[in-house]
Amino acid sequence: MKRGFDLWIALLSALGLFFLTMPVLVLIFSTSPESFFFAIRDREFLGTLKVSILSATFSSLFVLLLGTPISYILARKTFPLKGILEHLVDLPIAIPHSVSGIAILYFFGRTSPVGQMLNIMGIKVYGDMVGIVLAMSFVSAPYYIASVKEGLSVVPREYESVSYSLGRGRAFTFFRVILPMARSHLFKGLILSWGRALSEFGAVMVVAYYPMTATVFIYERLESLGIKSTLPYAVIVLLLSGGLFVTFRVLCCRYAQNRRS
Amino acid sequence: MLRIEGLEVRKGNFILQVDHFEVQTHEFISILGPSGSGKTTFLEAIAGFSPLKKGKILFYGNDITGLPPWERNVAIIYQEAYLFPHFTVWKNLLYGKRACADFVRNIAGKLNISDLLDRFPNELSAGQRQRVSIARAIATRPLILLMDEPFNFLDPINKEDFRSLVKEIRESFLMPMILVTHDLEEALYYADRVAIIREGKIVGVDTPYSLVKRPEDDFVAQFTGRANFLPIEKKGERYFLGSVEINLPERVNRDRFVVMIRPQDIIISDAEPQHSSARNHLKGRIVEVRPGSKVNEVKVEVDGITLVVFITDASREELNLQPGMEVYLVFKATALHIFD
Repeated sequence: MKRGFDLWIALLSALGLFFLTMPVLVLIFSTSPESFFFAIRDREFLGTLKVSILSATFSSLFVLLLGTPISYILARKTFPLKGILEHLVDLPIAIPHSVSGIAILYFFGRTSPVGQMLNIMGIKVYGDMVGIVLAMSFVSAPYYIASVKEGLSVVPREYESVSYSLGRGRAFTFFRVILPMARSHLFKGLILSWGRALSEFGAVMVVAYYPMTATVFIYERLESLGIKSTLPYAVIVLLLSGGLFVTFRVLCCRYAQNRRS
Repeated sequence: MLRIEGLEVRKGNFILQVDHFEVQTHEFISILGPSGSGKTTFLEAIAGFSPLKKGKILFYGNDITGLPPWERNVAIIYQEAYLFPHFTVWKNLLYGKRACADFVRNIAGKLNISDLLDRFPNELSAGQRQRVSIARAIATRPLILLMDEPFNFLDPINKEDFRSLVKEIRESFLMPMILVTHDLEEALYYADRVAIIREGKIVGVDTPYSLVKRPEDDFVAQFTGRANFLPIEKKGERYFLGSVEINLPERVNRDRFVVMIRPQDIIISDAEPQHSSARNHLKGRIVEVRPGSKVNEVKVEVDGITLVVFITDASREELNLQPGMEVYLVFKATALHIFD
């Protein structure tokens, strides 16, 4: 009985792994070196890559700024209707991304009060990198918040008490003790949200077709020229985003370990 | 130096009420009580972590009730050291707002941790970690040091080591301390006074000797060591335990009452002593002999009432005590404590 179970687990895991890795591996070897090097010198494409990476990075910083306090409240405080707040924060995961894009556009667009205020300040959302960053932040924030919340909630409260009793106030304690103790989760959250932002297509396309991100570029290429001519670009995006994602993860894990979390 | 008046703290259904509590300068107070009696809540109220529903806390006459924990200058030490894992020992010691390098070096020397300063907490043993946490607390020059069962996780050798350390800290740094514990020996060992807490109320504060010898009620008596409770009946001017006459230290004006005697205050003899100064000689039969790590426990039945007596290994072997054996229990009248 036990061996039968183990066999099933092994079989299904192997199948799952095959399903998750093979399409990616096959894609990598799908293109010829010539078309790969041609694509990598394509200035228009390189521009979209730059937009993607910059927007994803700004979006992660934005999420860091606004998501950390939410994570802290959710991890540390008890208050009425906290459960509802938790659901609200997770909501973007369940909303179709095109709908997220429409929501962002409707709320921050030129016709809305918020959009008008932003317009007065000279900030444009539709068709601008600001819009891309907002759309990316909206879809990626839940991943960051969930990770940091988990990290903060496992730091025993006594650390705070000890810090207070040593004469250090709330802000000092938060930045010098609590946050550093949750840093591996913070990095994990940042990497996840960065990866999620970089890969976003639906919400970004609704909010800003231009400036074009790499994901929108690939979609447009696919629509107009077909899959074969898109493959080299897809491979480059895959290698770049996958490579950066893995590199960040490894670096952050090392850093967290070195600092004795 | 510390005075508490009419304190009330609520935590869910639990209510802690302390009408009056004082700690003198340089005094060491142990707070003893069973789990869930409110010991930790009491410390947290003093440290400022549990908001007060009512009452006042005063340090040297200054009302600090409304001050946040970081402005109270009250240090707290827990069961675990809670050293900040991302800092070296040195940085941990210097973390406190009032900590300065010279004083920290001085403390590190006194607490024998000078050679650990460059290490990270995960490179220390449990005993070393707790030493560092005590040093870190002292480094802020607190008005009072609160300790919440700080030696629970230490092995017996380390515990012994810490007993002398705590004494040394008292003498070197002259600060009042409150130790919360459920361990009677620990509570009695250090304390100038011991407070007994039960179901959110302080039911007795006294010197260790008085609490053991003259407890206020049966709860305090039971909590400060093993105790025999004897129902006494007064007939005329004489007092009886069952049908056996008992000599009391003083006259009592009640017909029925309870007296207490500690097992260590009773001597066992295999024959009735002829020239003893102890005025009580009770004949009984041994029910059980139970060997222990420190003393042997002997249960003796006297006229239907079972008394516990502690004896040393030497006496047990000399008398060859066995269940069923007839013996005499000998004790002084002054060893009996009469409850009011």
